Amino acid sequence: MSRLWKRFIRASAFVSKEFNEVRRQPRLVLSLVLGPFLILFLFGIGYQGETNNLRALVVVPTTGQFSKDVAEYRAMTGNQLNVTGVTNSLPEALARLKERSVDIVVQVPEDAARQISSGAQARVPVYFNEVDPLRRDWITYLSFLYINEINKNTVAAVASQGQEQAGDLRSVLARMRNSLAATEQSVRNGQTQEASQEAQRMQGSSTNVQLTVVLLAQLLASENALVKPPSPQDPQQVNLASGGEAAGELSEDLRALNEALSDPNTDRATLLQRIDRVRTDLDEMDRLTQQFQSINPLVLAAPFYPQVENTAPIKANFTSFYAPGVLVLILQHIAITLTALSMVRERLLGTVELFRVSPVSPMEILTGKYTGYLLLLGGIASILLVMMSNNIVIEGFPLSLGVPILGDWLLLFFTIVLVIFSSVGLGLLISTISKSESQAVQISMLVLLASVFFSGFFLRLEALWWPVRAVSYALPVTYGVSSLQVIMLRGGVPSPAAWLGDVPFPAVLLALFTLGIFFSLIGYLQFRRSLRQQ
Amino acid sequence: MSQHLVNTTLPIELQDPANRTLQLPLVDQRPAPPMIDVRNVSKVLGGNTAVADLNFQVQQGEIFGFIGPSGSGKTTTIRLLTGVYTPTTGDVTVMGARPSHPGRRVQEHFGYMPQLFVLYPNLTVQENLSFVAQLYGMGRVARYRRVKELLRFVELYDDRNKLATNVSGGMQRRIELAAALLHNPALLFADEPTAGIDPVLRGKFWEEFRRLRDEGRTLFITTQYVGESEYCDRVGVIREGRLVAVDTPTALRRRAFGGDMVDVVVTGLSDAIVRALEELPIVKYVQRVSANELRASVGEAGPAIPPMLDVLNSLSCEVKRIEEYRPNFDDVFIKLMEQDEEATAQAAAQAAAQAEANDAGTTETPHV
Repeated sequence: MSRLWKRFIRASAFVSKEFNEVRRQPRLVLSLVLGPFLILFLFGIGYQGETNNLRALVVVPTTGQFSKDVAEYRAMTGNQLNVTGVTNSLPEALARLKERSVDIVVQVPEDAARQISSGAQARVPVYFNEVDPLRRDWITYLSFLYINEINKNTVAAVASQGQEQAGDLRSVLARMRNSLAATEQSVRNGQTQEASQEAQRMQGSSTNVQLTVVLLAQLLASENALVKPPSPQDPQQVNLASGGEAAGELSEDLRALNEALSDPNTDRATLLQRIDRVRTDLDEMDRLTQQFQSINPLVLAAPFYPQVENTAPIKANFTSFYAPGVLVLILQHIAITLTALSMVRERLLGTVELFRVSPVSPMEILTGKYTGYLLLLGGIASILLVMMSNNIVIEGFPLSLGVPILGDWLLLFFTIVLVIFSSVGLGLLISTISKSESQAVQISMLVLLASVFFSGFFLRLEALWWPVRAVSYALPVTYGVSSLQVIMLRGGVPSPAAWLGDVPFPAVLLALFTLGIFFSLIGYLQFRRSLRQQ
Repeated sequence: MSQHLVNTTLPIELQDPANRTLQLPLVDQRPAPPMIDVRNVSKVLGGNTAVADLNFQVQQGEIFGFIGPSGSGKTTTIRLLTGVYTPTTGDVTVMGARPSHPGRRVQEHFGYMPQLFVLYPNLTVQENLSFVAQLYGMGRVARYRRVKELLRFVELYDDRNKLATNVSGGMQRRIELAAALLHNPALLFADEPTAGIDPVLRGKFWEEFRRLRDEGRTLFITTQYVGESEYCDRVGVIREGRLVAVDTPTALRRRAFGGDMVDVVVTGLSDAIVRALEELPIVKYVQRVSANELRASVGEAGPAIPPMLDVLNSLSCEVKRIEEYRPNFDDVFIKLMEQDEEATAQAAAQAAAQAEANDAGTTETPHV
């Protein structure tokens, strides 16, 4: 029998031994396969997304005519805020905040109008009592959103006032049009004196029109972009902000008409031409004003709204998004725990003594164990992937998570193999520093905890301070989570720059492989040392 | 110790110190190198001397028994021989190689049965044996056949599918023995193989050991059952880490009691008869055991009985029985232990006296 064949037989002893040991623990097998699936399934049907429904208390000033009707305030707020009461007492509100019967206290400023009119921003104090940093950030963000909403409504109210003023303007324009008609009639009848008087009346009205239009233009100065026509080819879209310019033209044409009327040498045709120009100006002004009035004040206040379009290949739900991470996390944890426990148990059982005397080498032992765990965990991963992705319905009850696998199965397989390989290496390393089974389990649990925090499973890696990210890069799960998310949810190999920051995809696999080699090498050297004679 | 010649039916391959593989000839009249050669070996574990100054050799084709009370250093010795421990001082050679670096081809000829059950509790009896067979590179067919054969031998065939954790301690010892014999080792180290085994099966084990010995294999067996020394070709007696004696069982018995013992039963036993026997030069001493029975210590029983019978006849005694008395090995062992204890105490006393004398000399020197 060749030496190579004997080596194979010796290594295969550990493959079958690991399989038989795991097989003898049906509860372990059940928890290995069904556990992760059930966790994901429960998560899928149970997770409702972030609720963050905050109980709010509004403090209104005693002065002024502020409503104390809760329903009125509820109508003003969205789903995120649930206004539970209105009070005049800030201390009472703060006491309720302290006892945490409300989440947020919003104080309406007493002298907002005075502050704004004096050119200062009005301060709206928002109090909360929160230790959860995520919730704290959420409340701060929500406050910003609501204040923006208030600002928008305020601007809308002012715009509405402007539209009312535009109604007056149209009356003035109608009067001017009548005067112009009378002027024209007088010119046709050769009554230049009457025509000049009518034109001068129009000149006075024009001053009012010009002033009104300029005020409106100033009011809309910050929003002037909104009323610009999106396309110059569209004749119906008019730039309202150019109303000031139009009013100036009207005034100029009126002045020219008056000069022509006061000049006895001006012929009738010239006068009628000047009258036509003024009429055109009036029509233009009227059209502009009419359009301005027809615009919704809210559009004037908040002219932009986002049109969101996700270019990702799928619209993943929470279960689909977290499924690849859970799979990798479970595989890493099982690999680490099984390997560490198995190696420590060999030592505690005394089989190591048998290995020392027998012709089996440390490399053969580890080859057998690695192969065993790769096959075992590969099988578990396959079952989990099938259970996650397929649509299984039992008597009408869906038992599937429907997680999409858009990418290449071979790439997925290769990545999973590398995750298992490096995780087994980490387990081997842990076994060399563990004196007992409980120590091995303890350290494995610590690695699991570190993996949840530092792998990018829940928190993005970019959110971690860069030296701390070294922990992330020392964990196989970090590479596994991002790799599987891209392969399963994005459908294959992404562009290199989009991968873990600036790290290209092959580099991720290479890093995973290097990590596995590093752990395995240290583990092997330590194991070989422990097999040496005492 | 008798001259051991190479006379084996096994084509055993050995490695010389230069790591060259040697094929032993089937018949050779040159003195064979010992399978185990232990010279001046000591081992310190955790600051305590586990064994000290061990010197012995084990020849190919013999059963070497290693006997001693619990904690005397038997397991330490076997671990030194198997390479689990390296000696603190001295040299150990097994099959021509150092056990710390024996080489895989030498290790393939080792069989090892540890003192404790070191196999996997969650595997069945058969799976455990198959696992060990694989460690020695046995192929599927050979493995299956050999495992089945040994399961029958250790009477565990019907229990082969039981988990190792669910069998008794005695059965676990049997699994260990079967595991050690799976690959037909040329050199078997067995650490208390018969502990916890019922007497019938124990007898069967020794029968198998002797069969292996007869095939030319070498067995190094430790035991607490002193009586089992009878089954060994040679016995090493160890006490508190020191080797008290190494010899054949018969020689050890003689050493313990100063020679063979002859029991004599006569009618009308008298002091005159005792004195007459004591006057014989071959008789060392005579001791009355009962009213009609006496026990005489002689060099060797065979040659001593005829002259003793002549004396008794000359005194007209009616000799009802005269035969060699073989004290059981428990008595031999106890006697050897007592003798060693006395010798140790004497040596200690002498050393103390010497030290005292030296101290006194040193103290007086300044006055001189």
